[in-house]
Amino acid sequence: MQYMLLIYSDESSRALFGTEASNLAYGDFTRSLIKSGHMIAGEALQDSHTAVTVSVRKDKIRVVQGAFAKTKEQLGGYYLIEAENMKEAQSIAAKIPTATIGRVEIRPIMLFKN
Amino acid sequence: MQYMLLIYSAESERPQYGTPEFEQNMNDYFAFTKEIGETGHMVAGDGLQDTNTATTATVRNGKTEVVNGPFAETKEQFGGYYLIEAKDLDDAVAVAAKIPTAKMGRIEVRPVMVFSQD
Repeated sequence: MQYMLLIYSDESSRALFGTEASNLAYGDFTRSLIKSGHMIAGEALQDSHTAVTVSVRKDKIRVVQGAFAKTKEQLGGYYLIEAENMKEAQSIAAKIPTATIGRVEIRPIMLFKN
Repeated sequence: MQYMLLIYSAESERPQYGTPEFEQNMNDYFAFTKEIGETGHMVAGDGLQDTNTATTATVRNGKTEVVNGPFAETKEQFGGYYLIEAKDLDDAVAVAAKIPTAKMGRIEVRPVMVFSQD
């Protein structure tokens, strides 16, 4: 089953991301995920100040600066993984480097019958 | 450049499974996905199951803690995404505005971080 692991952290602590230590930790984690066959995809996102939020009402496109919500923790990246079940997805999520300072939301992917 | 289009809407306002509105919404999404496949924007995309299926994990002092639910209780919840290739932010915004849920929810457009290849 596929799960999305959404990595949330306070962006001020996220300044640590991109440092050598963080790159090594994420490199190791991603490599182990590929090796174990769990890895499908993953990306880091640029900080929320680079975001815009779009809505369409009465056919008019509205664009506002910033992320959709001004929460203390912001989405910084994600992994899309294959796992047996939620418990396995949780144990993988716990190994994400940011899990020690932020939080990882685990979401089952919706499956569509084609 | 790659952008994540993060789709947010109130789960209570989404078309309910089994209704004609749900069917229409699915068709709208198939059409949208097909269109951005043809324009070359589409890289990936998924719908997520509702937040009542979510759990949130943290690790503190070496201990893993898991709680039920999403990371935050917000009025609108994260329901799906597209990862797209676009010329620039304006191009990404134009794509985001065509996502069916943009009409009742909101789409966050986030540039993906690019790491230089060593």
